[in-house]
Amino acid sequence: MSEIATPQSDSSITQERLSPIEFLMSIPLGLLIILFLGGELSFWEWQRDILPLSRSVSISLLAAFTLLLFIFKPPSSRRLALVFGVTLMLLFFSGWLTKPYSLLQGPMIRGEILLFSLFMFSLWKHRVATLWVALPLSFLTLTFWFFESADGRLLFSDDNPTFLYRLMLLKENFPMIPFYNPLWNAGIDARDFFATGALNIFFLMSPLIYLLDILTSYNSIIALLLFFILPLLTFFSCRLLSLPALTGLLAATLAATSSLMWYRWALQFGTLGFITSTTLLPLVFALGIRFLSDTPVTRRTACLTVIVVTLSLLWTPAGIACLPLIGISALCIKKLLRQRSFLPTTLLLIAINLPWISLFWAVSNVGSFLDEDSSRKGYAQVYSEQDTGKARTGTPESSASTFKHKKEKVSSSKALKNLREVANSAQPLILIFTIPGIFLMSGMARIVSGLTLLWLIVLGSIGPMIKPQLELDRMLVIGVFLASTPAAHALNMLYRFKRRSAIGSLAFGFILAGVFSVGSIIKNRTLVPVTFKSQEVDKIVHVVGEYSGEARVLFSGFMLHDFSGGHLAPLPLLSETPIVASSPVHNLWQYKQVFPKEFLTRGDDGIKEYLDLMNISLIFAHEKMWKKYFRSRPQLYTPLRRIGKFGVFTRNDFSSSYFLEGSGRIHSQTSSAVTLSLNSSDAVVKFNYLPFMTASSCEVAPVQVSDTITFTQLSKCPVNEIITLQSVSPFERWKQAYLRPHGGKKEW
Amino acid sequence: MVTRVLFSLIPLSIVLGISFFIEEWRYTSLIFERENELQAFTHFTNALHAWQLDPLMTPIADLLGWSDPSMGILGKNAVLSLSYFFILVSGLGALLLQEDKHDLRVAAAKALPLIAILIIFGLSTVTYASLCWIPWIFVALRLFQSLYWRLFVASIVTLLAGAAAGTLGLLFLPPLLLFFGSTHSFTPRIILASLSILGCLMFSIDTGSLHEPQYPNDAHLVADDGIPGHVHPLTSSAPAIPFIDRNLEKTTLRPLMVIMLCSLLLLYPLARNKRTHLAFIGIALILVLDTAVAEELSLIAPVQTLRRIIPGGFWIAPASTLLAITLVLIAIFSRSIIAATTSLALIIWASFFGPTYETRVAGTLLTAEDHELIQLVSPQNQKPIQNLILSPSFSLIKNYHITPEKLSSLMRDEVFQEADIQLPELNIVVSEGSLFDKKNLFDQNPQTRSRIGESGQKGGEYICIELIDQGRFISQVFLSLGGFPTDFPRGLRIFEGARCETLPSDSAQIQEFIPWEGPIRTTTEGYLYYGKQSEVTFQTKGQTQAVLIQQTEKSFFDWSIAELKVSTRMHE
Repeated sequence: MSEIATPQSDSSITQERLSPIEFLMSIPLGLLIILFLGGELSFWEWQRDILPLSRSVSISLLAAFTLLLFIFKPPSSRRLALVFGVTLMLLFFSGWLTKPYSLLQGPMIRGEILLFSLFMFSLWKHRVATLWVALPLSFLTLTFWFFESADGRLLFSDDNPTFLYRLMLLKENFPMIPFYNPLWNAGIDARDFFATGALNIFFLMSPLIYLLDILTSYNSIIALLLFFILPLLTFFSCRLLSLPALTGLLAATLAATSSLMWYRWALQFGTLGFITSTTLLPLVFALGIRFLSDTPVTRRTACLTVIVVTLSLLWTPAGIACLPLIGISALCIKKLLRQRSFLPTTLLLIAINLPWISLFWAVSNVGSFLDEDSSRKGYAQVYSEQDTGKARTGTPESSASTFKHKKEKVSSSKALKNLREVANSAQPLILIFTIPGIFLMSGMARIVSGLTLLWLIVLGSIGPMIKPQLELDRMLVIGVFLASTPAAHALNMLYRFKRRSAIGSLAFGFILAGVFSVGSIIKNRTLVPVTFKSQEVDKIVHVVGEYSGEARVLFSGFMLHDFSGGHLAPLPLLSETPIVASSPVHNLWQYKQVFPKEFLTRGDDGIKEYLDLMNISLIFAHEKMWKKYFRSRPQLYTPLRRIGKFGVFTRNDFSSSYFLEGSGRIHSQTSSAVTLSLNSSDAVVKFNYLPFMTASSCEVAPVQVSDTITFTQLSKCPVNEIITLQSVSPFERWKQAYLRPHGGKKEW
Repeated sequence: MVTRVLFSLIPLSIVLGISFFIEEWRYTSLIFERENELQAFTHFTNALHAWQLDPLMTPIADLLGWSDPSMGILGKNAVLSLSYFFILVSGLGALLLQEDKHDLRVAAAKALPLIAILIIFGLSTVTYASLCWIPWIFVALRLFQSLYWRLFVASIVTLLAGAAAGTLGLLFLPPLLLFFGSTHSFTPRIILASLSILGCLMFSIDTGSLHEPQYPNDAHLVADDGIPGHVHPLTSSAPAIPFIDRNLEKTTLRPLMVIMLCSLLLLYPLARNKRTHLAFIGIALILVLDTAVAEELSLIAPVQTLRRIIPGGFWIAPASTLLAITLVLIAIFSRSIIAATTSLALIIWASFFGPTYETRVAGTLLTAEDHELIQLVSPQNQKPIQNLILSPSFSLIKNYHITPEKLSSLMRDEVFQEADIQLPELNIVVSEGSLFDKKNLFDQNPQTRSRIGESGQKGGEYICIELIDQGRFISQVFLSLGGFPTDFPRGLRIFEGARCETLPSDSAQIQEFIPWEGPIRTTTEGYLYYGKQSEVTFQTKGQTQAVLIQQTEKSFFDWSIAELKVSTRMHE
């Protein structure tokens, strides 16, 4: 145990002040950090550039000067925190704090930093007690702010409604996933639980999900994850590394306030799979380091490892972040094999994860996804285009837009830009104290954390240029998050000084300013918009449920973040009505018209035919051209009402039917099946055909209706008996993918 | 001994009595009834929060028959203010009695800070409600030896003060900390005790069902403070726009704060308890930082930071109340010579140079006519009057004396009417030195501009628009700045008449927007705010065919117009 962390005692730190030479080396070091990670050197406001030389020359000179001083008089690892800490003072006066996407929003945040610093400075004698009171209280405060901001409304930004929907689907259908979902676009393959990591949050929060209604508990799930589980796991991982409890507390606080980007992904984008997985990563690394140490691993720790690693891997890119750990483990395999629980743990991990990974690989076309043309946009890019209106350039005549994001050539300037974007949004304490923190760690902890952070920086900076579809820029967000542990370890050194420490006090100011800054994100006062469910959603749900009848409802044009800032995904479950739209989730990265091209080119007749084929009774239009289109054809469509930006239209002379050929009755449509009865033994129903579909007592076959629509033919069915149309079992799909008699894996 | 103390109060009572009879201090705050509670507000100390009587004062109010004070005491709340003032005075008297030496001169010297407060603040009910319990806290603290008893009693009295003063009660924390800091070293027990008292304060604050208007993010309600973007608290529920007029607050209070700091610094050698005196200097310095330095620095100084951090603090303008609290504390803790000299310096300044309270801070003194006016213009006549009075929009109504008709027309004309005038239908005259091209005004290109007057704004530049068609009147004018948002006029005077050549001499109507803060807009609920300064638009007041728009202020920036839109109406 003792070899994991460096034991420190107050007596080991004899000198509590910086020596002149240390102070001399800390200034160029601080300037170097600010210039390298910030990309500019400014005073007070970031526009006031004070750099006398070009950036590259300045960086080179500062690096050379710092290196010389470090060679001339290398400070001990225990004093590194002090040397690096001076950067905080430089940072306070620099324009860093006034950058638009900075976590700490200047210029006024300097007031909060100063006030809290003075508070700590005056209470230095009771610094540890102050930290133990203030920091746990900050998690409670953040939780309070979150619920205060929500005011009883659901978090609804971007993917949040999608995750809400996924959790609702999982609650209804788990473990029978993937499945056929007839409520969306006349039937889709509901399989994205694997790729999005929805399963990890589902497992982690299953008691809450099964005990309470998800619509009422969703906000609690978010708050629990971000402000309770996250700090708790970070604290626990520090303790596993035998770091002091205060380090754990500081790490938990830094992790919860790690960066603006973290909350962009967590609250604005709502990518809960990624967030959950990343939250678990410090524990994954701590457990990994534990296995690599000489201390015998107990059965309890081994079980915990299986659970934590499995949950983390449910958002699969987390595995990429762990590659250095895996590599080091491979190199230390002999040492690992000496751990009695290593082999059982590994085998158990494989046994649990291999089946779902193989199923995921088969049904999600992972191979082709990785090989595709890399033309997709990142979240941030889609947002910026939405803001400028570019995403609305599609016309009824064009089903795909002209914008296309090409794979970029790898360049150091672009890599630095990627790095600086995340660095600017990070808690400055993490950026400053990570390096001394790594040096303060010892043995395997130092190697693993150092290599992992290096790997994540490289991957996050260069990766997006090579494989933009993987969103590898998230690795930098993970890197900043993971760096909170070594940074906290270095910070802890500052609070060991008995004499009042200006740097320690200033660090406390930055810590609490970080908490307040996260509060401002929650309160929607930053450039990261966090939206909650508006009344518009309730009105849409009401109108859809009230006026659709038995038929489907269509949203014309391209739906992206038009449903109260989020995606349309949960509408079928909220309104109990099947929906047709360009896409329920964020899987389209360019404008896509809901009407297929082959129908659009035929004008009014084509659109009417498509609406008949999809059995649409009610139309929502939010784009000007479509509102104008429906309004200008009163013989075909009648305006019903306006809800926010949506115009609602009913179809004239419409009679609902889900049967293209034959006749019968649809008894129910659930999230995973359609129950119906037929008046004849054969029929073609207006539900998409997918190759894994099955129907009780019937044969199922595809019927090509148009270039893009393939409906389901039912034949040899019993007449007037209940028939259930659904997916085959997950095991059957796995079997069909891997154990087909003539080999050749089929894409499901 | 009691006689001596009471004797010392006689001069004060005379001053108060005379002032009361000449109604010098009336109308400093509004008292009204809401949900059967006596409530009041003043813009001087408390920008938004309503407050209510504390539990001790409630029975007194009942006895005096103030159950419907909005009708009876409106504008004449001096009785209530006096009651609070005498609680304050008697608290100081009780403190004097606790001291070993009882001297008339000491009592008189310690009364001087109160006279300074009276002269500076008038009879501001809310201010005295916040101040009156301070001496009693220390009376209670001195009565008990046990720390826990002292804390208990101090908490009760603080709670009373908090109940009366609302958010202003939070300002009790500094004096309490000062007291603990000067008599004890900071120990965990003291910190815990201070936090307990703070908890009591927080608990005691009742902001009632305060209505927070939903102003748009680009709205503003007070003059620009010169800081880029809007200063706002990071986490409170307050709208993210400023509404306390910092410029006015600073110009009003700056000399007083500087005088207080200078006096305290000069008197330092005379101080018996140097530590306490240093604490006063510290507070005075903080107040100077808040009012006498550039806003860029005030912004990060403790007072403004605390305003942003303390829940509800963003609604209050604390500098004036902190000054009053400091004066009370000086009366309690300082030597007579220090209290007297500091107070005298402030009294002299306030008497000869200082502004009267009518022009202070968001500067609102209510009259009975105002009350009538407010009742009429209450948003859509559906919202309770309190919502409007307690909203930051009230300062706009006062500043522009907006009549009910004006309010309703503002709401009607929220969106500019479709412009119906083309280039050939107008005569346009501009002042000398202009870079003017008439076509630019109608080319619908925001990047082409005309400069009115010479480079920069010097005051006196004008543009006059005249209708050629005699059958119509100008109803509304919109001067778009296009791509030149900083080139807005800093002040506007509008003259209306029949012909440009006769303006402004025979103008029948004049409107003034000095300084130009932007067009007055309303939220969907009917709360007023200033729109963007770059949107220069106004309605005419009478039936006019020519409008002369004169720029009145000075600025480094040009006055530019990119597009001109004029809407008209037919002869009635």
